[in-house]
Amino acid sequence: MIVVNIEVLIEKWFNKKISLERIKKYCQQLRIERRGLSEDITSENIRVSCVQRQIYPVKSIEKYIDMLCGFVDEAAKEGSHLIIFPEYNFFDLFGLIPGFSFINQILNKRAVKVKVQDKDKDEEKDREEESHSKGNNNFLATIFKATAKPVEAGIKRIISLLAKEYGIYIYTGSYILKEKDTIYNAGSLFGPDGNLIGTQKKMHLTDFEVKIGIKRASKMEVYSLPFGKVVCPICMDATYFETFRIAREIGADMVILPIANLEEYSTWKALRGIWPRVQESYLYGIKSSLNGWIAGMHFTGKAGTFAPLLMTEKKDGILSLSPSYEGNYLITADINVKRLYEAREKAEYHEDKNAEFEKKYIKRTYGIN
Amino acid sequence: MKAASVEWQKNEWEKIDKPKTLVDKIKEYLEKAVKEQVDIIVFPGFTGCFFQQLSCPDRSIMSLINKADSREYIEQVKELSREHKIAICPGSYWQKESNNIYHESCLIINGEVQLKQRQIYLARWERELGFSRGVKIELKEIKDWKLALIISTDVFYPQVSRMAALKGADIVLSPVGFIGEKNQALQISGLWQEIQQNQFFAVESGFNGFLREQSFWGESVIYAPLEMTEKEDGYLERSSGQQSFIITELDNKKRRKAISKFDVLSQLNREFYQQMKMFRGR
Repeated sequence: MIVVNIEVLIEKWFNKKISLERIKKYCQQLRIERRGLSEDITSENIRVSCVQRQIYPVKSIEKYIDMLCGFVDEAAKEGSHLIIFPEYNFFDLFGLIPGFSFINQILNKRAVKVKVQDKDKDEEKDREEESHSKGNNNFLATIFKATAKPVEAGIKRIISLLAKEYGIYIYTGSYILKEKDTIYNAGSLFGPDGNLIGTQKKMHLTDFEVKIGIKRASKMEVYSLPFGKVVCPICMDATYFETFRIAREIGADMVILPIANLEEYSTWKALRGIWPRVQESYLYGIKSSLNGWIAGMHFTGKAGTFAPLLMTEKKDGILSLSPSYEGNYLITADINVKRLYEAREKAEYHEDKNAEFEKKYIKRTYGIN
Repeated sequence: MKAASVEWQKNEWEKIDKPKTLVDKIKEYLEKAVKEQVDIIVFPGFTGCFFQQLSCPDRSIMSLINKADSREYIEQVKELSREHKIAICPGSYWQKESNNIYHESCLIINGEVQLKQRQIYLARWERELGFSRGVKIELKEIKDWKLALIISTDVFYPQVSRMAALKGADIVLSPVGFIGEKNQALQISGLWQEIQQNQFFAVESGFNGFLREQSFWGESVIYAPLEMTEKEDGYLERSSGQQSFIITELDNKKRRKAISKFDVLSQLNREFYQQMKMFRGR
């Protein structure tokens, strides 16, 4: 009997469809007018652009490059120094899987039906939903593992080429990083020379990610850019104050946060993430967001840039925010690290220290040495 | 558990010109609460400081703080507590001990102080006045509910709420008062979001009065995790500046069900938190 390993087959297929040569060739054809990072950039005049985009399964890698390039081009025209893509920035590439479009339609329709029934849901429907969700999870776990390597290599190559051509810092958005048999949710930052600056894995997972076998990391790194220091945690990491506390301690000025929220949007739900973290940590927060339907999952979220309340015009902590939680937007804002330092000095309700209380905090709170 | 929170507007505070008037007003609200079968009531932050101000009308705020003595106020509330079978958080007050001045609050039941809490972090204006900081947070168990007190400025320091949550707090009582321009976003960035990242209940009582020339503001609110509130906004009850007294029933079963849908604390990454050097005294 011949045993067909579906993972191996999909990986081979993706290696063919996302060949690095093909990417390079296509990017050359785009004839991007090469620019350099503007020389007058300082910590006082940084322009950042956050991508909010809808999932759009593609039939070719070229279509995917066009989509990414469109956002980078717009950001470059707006004079941005940094552009960030959202969490799960690769979902569109599932469109390369033969027959995916058909499966995707079925899964999405079934999920919509469940949502409609949601209001008068009973236990039986709960179980039914759980069983569908298990099926989806197995399907996704297989796809994630199979596509991880070629997708990672492809996205990195595309972003590296675009960063170099446009002379801009680009955060890839997140992708699945496979190390031996372990998979992580991770994202990478590229410099205007096209070189990789660093890769950060997600440290707090959602239930969905735990179920499909993604593992978490336990270390965060800070990257020094000419205009400030950045960290790149991912989505759920902003639910935990500890992430931003550590970001401050390791010297960060701004936090890049790609999100893809697997829930129906509400302002209150959105307020549980980056916004309060920025207020308590006195850091800039830069959020990109993915939305739309894929494999029966519905993602929502607004891209935006956040700062401590008193640094924003309306004293609401928002520098820029997408007008909607669905659709494609490029949200741009100017940030000023020098002003952030001044705000820290003047903060009325933050920035105090209590050495005695904090001394054994880790042990007393988390029960670890 | 039925909880209540009090909010008096500035014009009401202005009418209180003697310590006895304040005690009578507290008594009036205790009677209301007892009538509504409330188990626990929280009075606004700085209510005790206001009492201290009324007791020494000629003193400057600096002199008031330097002589900070909450005993008379606490004795009065203890007396009221003996007459009213209800747990009382009398707001906050200043207390001097060994030349250190603390911003404090407590929980009084049956005429006894059952839980005391000092503010752990200071606002800029408190630092400028030379206040000292509390160093611990403790919980009190009442009818199978674990209660913690988180005072005013501490609502902006998530490490305080996290410690209370991991000690098992079901409810946080929070007398508060903020200076500066009134800004709802500031209050949301305080206790509202602490509830969402720790998933306990909280009863917050805001001070809208003044201490000498310094005005304060704050809304009184009863919070719960988003998933268990009617509008999924995290508010069980709020004064919105329109009500002087808000009450709600806190349902711990419902809270646990909400947590089962979105369990924040289950995903804490303790290994990662070892990276917090400052919290290790370094």
